[in-house]
Amino acid sequence: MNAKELARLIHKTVPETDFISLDADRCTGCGECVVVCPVFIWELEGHTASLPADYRERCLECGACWQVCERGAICFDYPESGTGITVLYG
Amino acid sequence: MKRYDLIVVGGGPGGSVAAKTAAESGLKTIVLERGIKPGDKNVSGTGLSPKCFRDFDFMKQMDFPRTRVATMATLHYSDAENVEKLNFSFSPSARGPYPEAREFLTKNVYRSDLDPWLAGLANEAGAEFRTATRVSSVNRGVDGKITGVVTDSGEKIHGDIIIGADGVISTVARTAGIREKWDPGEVAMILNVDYGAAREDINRVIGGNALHYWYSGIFPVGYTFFSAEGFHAGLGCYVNWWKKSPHYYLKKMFELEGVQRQIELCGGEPREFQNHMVTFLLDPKSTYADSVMLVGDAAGFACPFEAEGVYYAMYSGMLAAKVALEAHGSGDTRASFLKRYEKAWRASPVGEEFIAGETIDGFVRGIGFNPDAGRWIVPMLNDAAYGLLNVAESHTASARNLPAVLAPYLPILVETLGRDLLPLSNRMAEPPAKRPSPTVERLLRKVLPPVLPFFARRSARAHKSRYSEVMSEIMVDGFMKPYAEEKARMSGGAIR
Repeated sequence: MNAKELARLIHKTVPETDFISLDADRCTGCGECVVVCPVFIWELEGHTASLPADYRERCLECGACWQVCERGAICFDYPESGTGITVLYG
Repeated sequence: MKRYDLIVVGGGPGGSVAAKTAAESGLKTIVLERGIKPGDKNVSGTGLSPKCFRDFDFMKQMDFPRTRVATMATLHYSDAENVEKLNFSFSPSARGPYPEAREFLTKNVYRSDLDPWLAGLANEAGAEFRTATRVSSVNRGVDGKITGVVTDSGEKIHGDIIIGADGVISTVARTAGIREKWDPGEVAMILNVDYGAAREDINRVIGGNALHYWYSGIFPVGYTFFSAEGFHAGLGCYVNWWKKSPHYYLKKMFELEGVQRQIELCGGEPREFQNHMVTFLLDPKSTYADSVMLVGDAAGFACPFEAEGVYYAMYSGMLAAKVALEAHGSGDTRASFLKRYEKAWRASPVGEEFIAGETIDGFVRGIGFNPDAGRWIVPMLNDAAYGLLNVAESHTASARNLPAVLAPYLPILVETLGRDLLPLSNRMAEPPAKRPSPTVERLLRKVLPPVLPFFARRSARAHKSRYSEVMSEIMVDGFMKPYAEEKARMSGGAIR
């Protein structure tokens, strides 16, 4: 099973509202969030990180991108009540 | 208006034990959990330590069909070529400090069993539960004082005291002004793959040897931990450590023959991919504010050595609930009163883990989480074991060759001992001793590497067959005794 397939091996109720946002003005394009995210949510477009529209379907809610961003460009909150990841075998 | 004595944010083990303790002593308590049921959002390595069963009577009733009792742990060491070079196992000792400790190392459970069960106990004790309820911030009155919490639907829930049991990314800590986020070097990210497997197969292949650690010269330390009907395989390191995708390191671990063999023989089928963060702190900085106490991961209470979290969450939850009861009785919920909570956890097994926090951190950073150290530690351990036990030539010849084989490791070994291990043993000593004098450390580092092999070789030649005595004379009389005496002199008494 390759990394991309593994990253899809999750169970979730997709949240309808955003819970991650990027302040592009603060982003320096260092790429830390791209490297650390184990479900490949972040991409680099030129010198700025970008957040694809389907991130809500794939995010594990670990908060590593928010934690690792030293410029504070990433805002992270948990998804709305009762939605998001469900860990069946934690 | 409905008002609670205590609002607990988060229905994990910390929140549920806090709620259970509080409700039992008569506090009107509510638990708010963002998942549809408790445990929905939680990932862990699965092992419950004997401490959980020593300190909480109700844990003796725990009975999940999917539990596997680990009676042995195995440490595997693989080198920079990703080949396992040696391993060793250990099991509970007859000299373990209490009955549970003598019986097992851990009980491996799923959080989807544990968390709902603990929540049920708290509920039976009288605590109200609201699930699928995410707290978006604490609520403040016009005077700025915290009066409760606000959920993401905008509902205000009023309460005198709030216990933040809401994990590493604690909303309560953030919105109560205790902390925005951790420093990147204080948090590790742990990737985890859950495998399902047949109970009989795991019984046959693994039995009670259910905790496997994979120490490596390539990836940060990994693990395979077995429950009754599945296992977790994963690894982790500081969140800002990763130079490549974490999947690269995970793949390297899965390529190890020993890991493959476990997966294949157990018939493991991947069921779920998980990821979470855990704190590795020198010392939890602030764990309370006006009307607020933090417990478990929200406070940073994971063990700084191996990131065990559930026990510390449960214990701190219990302590916070007791302080909440005192605060409720006195009518004072200000930080100046809740300071008692910090005093309580510092004096408890939770605080005990952080007495040596700084030096444990040095060890974890220098060795545990550092594959670069594995590049020499693994060959060194193997050369030592092979050097003593091989049958490639006579044991006399092997022993004679040993110093020459091991001598090249001495400089880095002594440096690592001085930097990461001696301070650790010093800080763990009872009573806490001073750090070794820098002069002694410097001297050891400078003198030992060139001198020890030289004397060993010279004396071994002179004494021919008395090699081991010569070694111990040099080690004990030449180096260890003066070192211990020097330390005793400095700390003003004998070393126990």
